[in-house]
Amino acid sequence: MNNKHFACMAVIIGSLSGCASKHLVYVQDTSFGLTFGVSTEGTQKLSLGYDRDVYSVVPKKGDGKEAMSLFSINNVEVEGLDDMTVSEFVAGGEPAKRLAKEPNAVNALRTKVYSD
Amino acid sequence: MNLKASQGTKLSLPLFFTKARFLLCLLIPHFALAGCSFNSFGLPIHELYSEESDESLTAKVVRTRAKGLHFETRESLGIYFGVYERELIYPTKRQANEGCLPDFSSAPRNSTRSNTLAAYHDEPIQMTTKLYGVGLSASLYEVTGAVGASHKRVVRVPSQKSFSFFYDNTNSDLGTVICAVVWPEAKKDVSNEQ
Repeated sequence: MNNKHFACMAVIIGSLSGCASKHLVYVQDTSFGLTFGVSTEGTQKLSLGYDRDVYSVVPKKGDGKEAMSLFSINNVEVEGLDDMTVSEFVAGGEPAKRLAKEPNAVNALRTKVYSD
Repeated sequence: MNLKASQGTKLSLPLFFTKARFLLCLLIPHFALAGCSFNSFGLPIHELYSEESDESLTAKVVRTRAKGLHFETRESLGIYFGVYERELIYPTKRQANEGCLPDFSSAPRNSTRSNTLAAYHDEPIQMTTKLYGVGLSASLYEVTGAVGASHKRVVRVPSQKSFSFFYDNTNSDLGTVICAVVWPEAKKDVSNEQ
């Protein structure tokens, strides 16, 4: 890759990375080989060999402001690249606030997610 | 093609193996043997490319499976060589007070189909991709590349909106149970309420 190509890629990636994130992101990434990635959420990746990442990105809202109300119950089993079983419930905003006030509903959800 | 470069390689390699002809020699047998596919137009080869859309009142699921050389133009621009699978889940737009909690056990494939009643959010709430081979893609959100095997699952929701999402693929008899709901109105900022 010559300097012009490198500069072009840098401008594109920089433009994309400069965008402000307005999303909540939850990522499970498993790879074997060579991988790279740049996202507008502010995450970069370059790996060679086996790699597994689990991460989340929560957008900034400023001092004294709530980023997001989030309620989540996850049950994830990974036995291989092609063998991932997922049972999860995620709620954000008003549904999360309501669930936080209803312990019976939370118990029912937890039973459902971990029952199988 | 750079003429000087071609002339330079001609001294050390036979003319047959100039860059362009070498690539053609690789691609033509590949097209003949494995085929190529586009996600929504072009040359979909039977059994090498499939796309199914499952629409219901609880979610819209778009599954793509391709083998060989695949060009992706939906949600991202990408080129993949090998086995490529992708699952996009679009949440339904519901009124406030409606979520996945009361009906999270209903699967899209078993629920009542009524496309006229269901409106789907423009952005997928979950994107799962599997790749065995080589891939390069670019979208408004990310630029990624991979050589080898990769499995990526991304749950991505707008922070200004309320939502609920249930996903369960643990029971092979039931299949994958999915419910994804996004409320249309913007979420209130707690700091402004005080």
